[in-house]
Amino acid sequence: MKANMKMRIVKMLLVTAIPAFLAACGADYIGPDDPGSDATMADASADALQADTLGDSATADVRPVDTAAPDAVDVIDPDSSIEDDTAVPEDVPAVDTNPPFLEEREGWAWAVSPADGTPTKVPFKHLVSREGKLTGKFADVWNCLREDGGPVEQMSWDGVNYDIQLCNYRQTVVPGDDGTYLHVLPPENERDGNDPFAEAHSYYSLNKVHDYFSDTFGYTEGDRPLFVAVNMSFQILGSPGWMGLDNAAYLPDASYGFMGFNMHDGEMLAFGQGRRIDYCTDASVIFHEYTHSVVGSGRFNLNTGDKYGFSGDPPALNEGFADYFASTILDMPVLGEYALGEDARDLSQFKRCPDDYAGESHFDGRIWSSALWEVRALLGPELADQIAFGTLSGSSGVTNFAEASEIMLDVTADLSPESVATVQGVLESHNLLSCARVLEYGTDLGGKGYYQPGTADSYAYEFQSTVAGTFQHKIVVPEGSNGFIAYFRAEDMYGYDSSPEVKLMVKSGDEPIVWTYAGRTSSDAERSFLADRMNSQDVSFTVSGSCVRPGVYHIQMINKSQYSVIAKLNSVTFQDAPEELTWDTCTWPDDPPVVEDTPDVIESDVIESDVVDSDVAD
Amino acid sequence: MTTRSMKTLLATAVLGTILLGLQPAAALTDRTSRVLERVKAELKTPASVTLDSHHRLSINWTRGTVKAGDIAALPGSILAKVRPILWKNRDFRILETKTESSRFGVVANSTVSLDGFPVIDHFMRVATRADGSLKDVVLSIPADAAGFAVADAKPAVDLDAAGRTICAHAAERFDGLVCPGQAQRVWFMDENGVLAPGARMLLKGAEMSRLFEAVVDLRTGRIVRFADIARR
Repeated sequence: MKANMKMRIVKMLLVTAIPAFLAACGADYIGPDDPGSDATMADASADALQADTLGDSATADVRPVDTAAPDAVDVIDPDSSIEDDTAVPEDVPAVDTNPPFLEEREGWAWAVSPADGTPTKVPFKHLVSREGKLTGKFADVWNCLREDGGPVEQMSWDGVNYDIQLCNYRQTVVPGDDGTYLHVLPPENERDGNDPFAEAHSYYSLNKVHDYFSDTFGYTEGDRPLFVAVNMSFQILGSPGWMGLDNAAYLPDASYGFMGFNMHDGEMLAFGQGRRIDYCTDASVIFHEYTHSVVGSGRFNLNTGDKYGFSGDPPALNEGFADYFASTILDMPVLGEYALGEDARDLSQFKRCPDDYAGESHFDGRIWSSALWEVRALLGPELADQIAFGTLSGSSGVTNFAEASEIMLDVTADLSPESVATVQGVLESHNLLSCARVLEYGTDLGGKGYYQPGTADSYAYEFQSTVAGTFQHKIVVPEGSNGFIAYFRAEDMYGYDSSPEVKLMVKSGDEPIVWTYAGRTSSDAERSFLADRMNSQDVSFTVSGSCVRPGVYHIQMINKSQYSVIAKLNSVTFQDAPEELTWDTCTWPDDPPVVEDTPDVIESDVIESDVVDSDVAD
Repeated sequence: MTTRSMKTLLATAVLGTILLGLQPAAALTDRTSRVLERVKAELKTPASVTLDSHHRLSINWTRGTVKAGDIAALPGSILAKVRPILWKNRDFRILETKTESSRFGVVANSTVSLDGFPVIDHFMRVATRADGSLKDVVLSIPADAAGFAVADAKPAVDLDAAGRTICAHAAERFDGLVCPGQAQRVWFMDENGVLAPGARMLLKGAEMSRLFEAVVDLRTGRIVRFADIARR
């Protein structure tokens, strides 16, 4: 392999593969998946919404996806890696050298993270390994060591094949002469890719979160030895150095793991040895991922449609619950303070729908988790946790914000009728009971950016030929105008398609466009308009003619391309003497400006391209 | 004619116009109402039976009215009861059930098959309360009466061809995706509410390192889903 090609592969791995570490088979991972800070998302600038900035980079100072590839290579050149400075541990004895067998032994763990300063002496419970390894009733923890023996997969890039090797699973922690794990101490270097303390801390934390769900809610599905791997990394065979992975994941089926590796037959938790820190050392990360296993693959797993259009509520709820339970267990509102740095999620920050909604699950999930945290502050953790879990238990794969809110009110009525008004107040203040995803043009909120899936990646069966916008926009055509041009950003999120096909739905009047899914997906918009593409990023829609009257209009961009676009209403200009007439067959004010035979706007492939022409002909 | 009778006549005319205008929807409502009544009668329990905005069937019991018994068997037995009412003689069956218990009761989440093939994106969920009584059932596949249909046309493309389409798309769009080449026969709901034959494939991520779920409409050979199923 030529040196420059090796570096190119490294770059690609840094920019694309590593950031999406272990995002396999429905896996979910800790993030930071927010598309940007609050301030960034307020205007959803291009930088804030770049495709691969969606949440994979892990650290504030080492951000592979926010960094141009050459810089990324500078950040972690395997040739200069310092991550291999720990010797691979000797294999452990095959038999128990410290009888008698104990179900509980002492050891050290972080209460939260290395930011604690000193570890805490804690009991390691539920052990079942006769050798004293960290295999227990509810967690089976393995170290993924930087040594030969791990599986090798071949990947192809630009027609050249490369052999990628995963680290090798082994259990390295056994009791010392005193029968405890107290000899297993935190590594001196957080970038130690083989440290046994990662196993120890993870084992303790996994039992803590298991016992929380079991003891607090009588939840029994966690009563299995969940397979867990820590210190995960990989190498390109023939190229020196191992490369860290900056993320953590719950994988419902790890046979479809990172880069095609069969990482485990069945579910697992995987924690990367990151380039700055070790992900498993932050207990909130472990609790977040474990909660995803509690949510399971049958809940909050699909996007859906509601009356405003495309809804990404279910995955957002998934993230919101994972953040909430991680935080409530630790009694700390900030999730991932150590692991995620400046991308940590603070549940005490008030988030509201639609203000803080962008179509990205981790970002949008903060609305839900901040509401739960507020309930916790008002009602206390014991009741709030029960309300949260009862709501989770009552939810399905497509439960949205409003439905989850109703479930929460029912659960609260069962558990504590006197608290219903409090919970309702919180849900109303976060606007979760009836969030209208309608942005008013001319307001601060009206210019926010958002993600809008395409026909292939909507993951919502309601949208297959057209995907309704995540948001609608409300505009007011002033007196004297009979037309407007709406300038939208509509840029392929992945940067492949320079001209993704989008259209604009328009409805006059005070009421938003209403989408329905009874049998067939449809809306009550009056017209759709083709886009004039200005460049790979921007489009304009001209809506003008005698049918356009002064007054309120709701407009919504729909995506007819295969993949997600980054959307934003940049501006609207109003016209009093438009040159181009696209809606000009009405003799108003007597005739209604409805020109299509059917309000159904999910067009078939046959008619989708000639709507404007046929309307003009009318 | 008095003013009052004029008003009555006008009101009748307006009402008639409205009713005529709503006839299709009203007819649909009538049909679904009858189905809901039949489901309720078949269950022989005091349950509330409704449809939601996506025509998912929802059955709710008042606390303590019906003992759940063996929850693992409930999805199959309830499906067997409602199947002839909802879908004539179509062979919908429970494919796999996962149960979970907590202080709030037991939940059984099931996937469903038709003619032995999985119906993706759809589910049946049965929940009990902590006191062991039935709480609710949600069945996401709409009834025939709600406009649901199963595509009866013979698939125009076979699984192999669909697999090749998926792999070709993967190579074109996502350089480096590992394509297993073997697609799984499934049913998927199209946006017209028709359950259509599909070919589903999971593609392992390479340098793009996602896991993609791809679905091809076997009626047309068109890719209808190519989604990263990791939540980002």
